Amino acid sequence: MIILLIAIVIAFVISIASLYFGYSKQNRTFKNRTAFLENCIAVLRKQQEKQLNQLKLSDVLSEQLKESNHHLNKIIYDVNFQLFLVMFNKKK
Amino acid sequence: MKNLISLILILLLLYSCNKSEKSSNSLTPNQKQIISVYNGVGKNYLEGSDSIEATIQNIENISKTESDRYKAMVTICRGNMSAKSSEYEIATKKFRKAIQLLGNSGRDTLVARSYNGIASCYKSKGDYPNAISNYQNALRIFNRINFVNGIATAYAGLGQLYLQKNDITLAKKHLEMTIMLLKNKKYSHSYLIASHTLANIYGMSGDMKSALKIDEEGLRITDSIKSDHFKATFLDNKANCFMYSNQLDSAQYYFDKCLEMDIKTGIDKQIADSYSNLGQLALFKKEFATAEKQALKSLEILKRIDHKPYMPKAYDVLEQLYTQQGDYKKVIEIQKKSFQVYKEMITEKKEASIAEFNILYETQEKEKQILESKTETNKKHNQLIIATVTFLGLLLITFLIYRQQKLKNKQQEQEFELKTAISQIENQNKLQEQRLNISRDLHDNIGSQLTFIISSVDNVKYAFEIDNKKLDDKLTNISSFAKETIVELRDTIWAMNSNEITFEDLESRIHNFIEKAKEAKDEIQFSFETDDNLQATKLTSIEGMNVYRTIQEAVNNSIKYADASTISVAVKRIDNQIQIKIVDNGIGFDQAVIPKGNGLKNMQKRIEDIGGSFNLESSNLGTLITILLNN
Repeated sequence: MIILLIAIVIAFVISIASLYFGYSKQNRTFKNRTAFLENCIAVLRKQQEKQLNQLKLSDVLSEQLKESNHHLNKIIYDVNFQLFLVMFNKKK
Repeated sequence: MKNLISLILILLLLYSCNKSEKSSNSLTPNQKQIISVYNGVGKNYLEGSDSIEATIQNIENISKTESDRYKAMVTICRGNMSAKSSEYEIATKKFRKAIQLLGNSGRDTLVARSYNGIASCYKSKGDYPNAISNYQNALRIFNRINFVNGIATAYAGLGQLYLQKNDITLAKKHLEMTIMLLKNKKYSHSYLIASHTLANIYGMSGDMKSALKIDEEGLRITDSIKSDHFKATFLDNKANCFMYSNQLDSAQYYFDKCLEMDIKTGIDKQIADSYSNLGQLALFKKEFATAEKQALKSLEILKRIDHKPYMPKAYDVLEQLYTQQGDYKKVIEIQKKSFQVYKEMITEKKEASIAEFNILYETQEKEKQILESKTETNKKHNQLIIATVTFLGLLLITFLIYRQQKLKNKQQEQEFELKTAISQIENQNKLQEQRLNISRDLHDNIGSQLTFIISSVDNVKYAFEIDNKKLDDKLTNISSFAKETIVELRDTIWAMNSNEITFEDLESRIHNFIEKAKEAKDEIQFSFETDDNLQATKLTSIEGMNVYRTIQEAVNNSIKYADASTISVAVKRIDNQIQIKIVDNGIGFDQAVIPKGNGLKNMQKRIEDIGGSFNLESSNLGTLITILLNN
């Protein structure tokens, strides 16, 4: 009976120990995987941030170019107007 | 792990099966024959004695080369045969020899059977103390190994013994115990012995109905197993019932049949008993001569085999006979003889011995029961501990498995969430990358178009002599505006292509800008100072671009409007902030009078967009712009 009891206790201790180690191992593996994934996310976020900055700059530039375009159109219109005046005077 | 345990169990099972098979197969033919005869004699020793005698003789010869155990078996067979022939002394010796050969083990059925045989012999001789002592020895062993058949046999013997002693209560108790133990084995000899003895007791106490019921059942069983010996005992009972119910003809029929079977089986004590019964019947019929003849015949046989227990019955017939004939002299003589036999069987000393044996046996039984009870309690206690430990262990394991499973599920969920987030970010990045590619293409295209415009305007101006000043100014304006736009475009593309911008990069970029500015006003002294520890400090492209544009605007304002001769830019770290100071020694302006133009507003907005603060101080000694950035 005592032997049976000892055998049961040993069996349980082994089972519990193996479960505990399994639990710890699972935790460790998960932490490593999570760390890797989080690292990936961090890299991707950094890349995203960089791209966002670039896009913002691009947007700002686009606005500036719009303004420049408007301004340039105006100047070209003036040039054309002056040319028209010159040609009109010459014809006259 | 589970597979390994299953494999070990299967291997153990196969090994044990193989082992048991081997052990039964390892018997020699001689040993098998001895065991077969021993078992057969145990069951049928009373039937067909001639052939049994030959068989026992045969196994006696072959047992000489066998171990003591097989010799003991043969000796027990021989003892049984001697007991059957009423040779009680010889039978007792044989049984004792068997015990000697077996080493008097406390857990051997053969030893217990030998004690039973000895007890039976003593019982037949009327030596009740020794009979009880040996029955108790047998019972102890049978009880120890929990051999129910053996226990029932010993109880049946004790039942018969107590009946012979006229102790009806004890006899009934033991016989009923036997019947209870063997209720599922009604064809066993012990059951039949107990049955017919109990029927005898019922008959003696006048309960003919119960007695006849048992007898009928006994006869049915004995017919089915074809045992003349046991059938005769039930017929004897039945005849007695009829005789004491005054059905004398029926009694005569069954007694005659019983005698016939007893003679056939050759058991002297039974033959003698039948003669006594016939004598009693003759007496009932008033056939005195026959009664005397039968009683004397019975006595003759009983004296020859020294079977005292049945003698009083025969003497009783003679006593009644002589009393009825009025021959009192003979009556006294018979009474003396009967008393003598009774005295030999039952004395005070013997009774005391029996009582002593009974007390001893009961004490031992009680001690045994206490011990068993203690063992049982301990066993239950241990079982409870095992059950508790097992339960707690299982509970703990279940909890651990549950916790592990729960954790696994949670981890899987978290992992899934992370992977989903990665996938989403990747998709967003791809989309942004596509947008960036499109905008880059667009900017490149605009850049080349602007260059084409500048080149075309310059070519026009160079190829044609334009004397119209207004037109010439307009064309120059187009060219310079396109150049400025290209510069802005290049600055922005530079910022976009730089992931991070350091103050060192800013410094060199601003120097380029200053160099160009100097072309217009070369008297301006320009300085750019950066703390050594800030040289490598990195700004994002937006931050860098906004800071660059702000410094550029400030320097531009100083050159254009302040009429400054010295412009300095200083970058320092103050606590956790980066301080950028742009100072000129120009004419300054009154902030209360001159409203903020687009340039100043843009500067402030750019700095505030990147989380910094913008401050402007101006006097007639110069202008100071302070920018504070969080780092």
